[in-house]
Amino acid sequence: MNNDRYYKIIIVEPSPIIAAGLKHLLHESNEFVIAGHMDNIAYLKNRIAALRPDLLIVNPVVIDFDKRFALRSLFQDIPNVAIMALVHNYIDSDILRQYNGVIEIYDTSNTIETKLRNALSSQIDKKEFFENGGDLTEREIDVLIAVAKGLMNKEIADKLNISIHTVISHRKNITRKTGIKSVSGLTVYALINNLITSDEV
Amino acid sequence: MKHGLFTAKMKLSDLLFADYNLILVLSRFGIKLGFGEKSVEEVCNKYHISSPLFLVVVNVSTYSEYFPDESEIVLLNVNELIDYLHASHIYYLEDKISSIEKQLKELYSKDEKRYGEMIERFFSEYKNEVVNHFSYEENTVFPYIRNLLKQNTKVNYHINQFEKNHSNIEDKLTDLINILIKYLPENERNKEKENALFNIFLFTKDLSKHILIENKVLVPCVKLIEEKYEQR
Repeated sequence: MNNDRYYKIIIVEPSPIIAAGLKHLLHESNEFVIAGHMDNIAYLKNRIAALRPDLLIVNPVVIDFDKRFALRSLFQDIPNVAIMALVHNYIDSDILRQYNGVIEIYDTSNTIETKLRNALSSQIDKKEFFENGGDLTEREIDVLIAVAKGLMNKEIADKLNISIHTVISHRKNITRKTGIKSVSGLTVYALINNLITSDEV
Repeated sequence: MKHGLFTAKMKLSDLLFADYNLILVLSRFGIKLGFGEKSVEEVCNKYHISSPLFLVVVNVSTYSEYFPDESEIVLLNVNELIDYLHASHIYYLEDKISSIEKQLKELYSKDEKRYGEMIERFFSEYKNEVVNHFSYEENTVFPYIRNLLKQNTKVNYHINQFEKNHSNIEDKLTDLINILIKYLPENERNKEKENALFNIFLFTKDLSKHILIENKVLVPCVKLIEEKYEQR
């Protein structure tokens, strides 16, 4: 990790006491800067493009329950950003598994900094894994999500700013890799892998 | 490819030893097990099945490179062929699909309801497609052909329309197999998954032969009859 730069963090946490505490603990750090704090996810979505964070620290309770299983679909626009869970009540382990790490309320500032560093590097690893064809590429995943949501090739091309021809070739590759041809089969695949939620279908 | 095909003089039991998938073909012709050492011809006579048709069906089902040529097509009893296809539809809808449906429900414990629901929804969508596919054949295509055979004045239909619109109902089964094998997370119900997979594999294979018989036997038969009419 490059020591010359700092990492921008956004906290999404409804409790002002906890958010302030976390800010205070990271205040001394010259590696991490808190670029923003908000108490709900809707506000975050509007601000995220402008703030360009490297890392989100999100309390999973701010996300609607039925969307909690599809974290990456929610943040489809920022696939490179690491996302940490900030937990101070019980959250299902299936939900936490999607995050790059979990910060708990009794963690010391040292522990938190270590966890943040690990989260950033795990997101880089994850990105490389996707790009090196372990499974689908990130672009293929974008196309897959759109297909599963019922979009037509033309709509997908417009949405992702690529040609229809490229959409078709992504779709061919998705089918070649997964063995799944039908839209409803791809939807099940996307649901199983938490790329979309059932109410998005 | 004419060599090595099943013939009328062979023992029917030998056919099943060569390809056990034919068990299903027999039952759709109404043939019951327990036929001893009887030949194909003898069993066909007993059940009043025309043996040229029976042989074409078993040969297409077993040998993937074999399709009947015109000299064989003209010998076929098309009414009986439709009876056979109809029996297959009944078997798929009443036996096969409901048994797979039941097996899919067994794959998940209560706390994995999420997966159970996705799979059930996928399969019930598929089932609707199959029902529509078959009912088009039962309500439009088959009555048209039966009328044609009775030399009734032609309805406004042509077998080409069937050929063009014969929708694919096999792909989704392969999708389901991929999902069960690769993507549903492991759980304690592996045995149930295995059983469901065997059943779906068999169904996929049987269905693909059924569609082959429609495309490569039924359609050429009907084309011949249509041509005869048009020449008049």
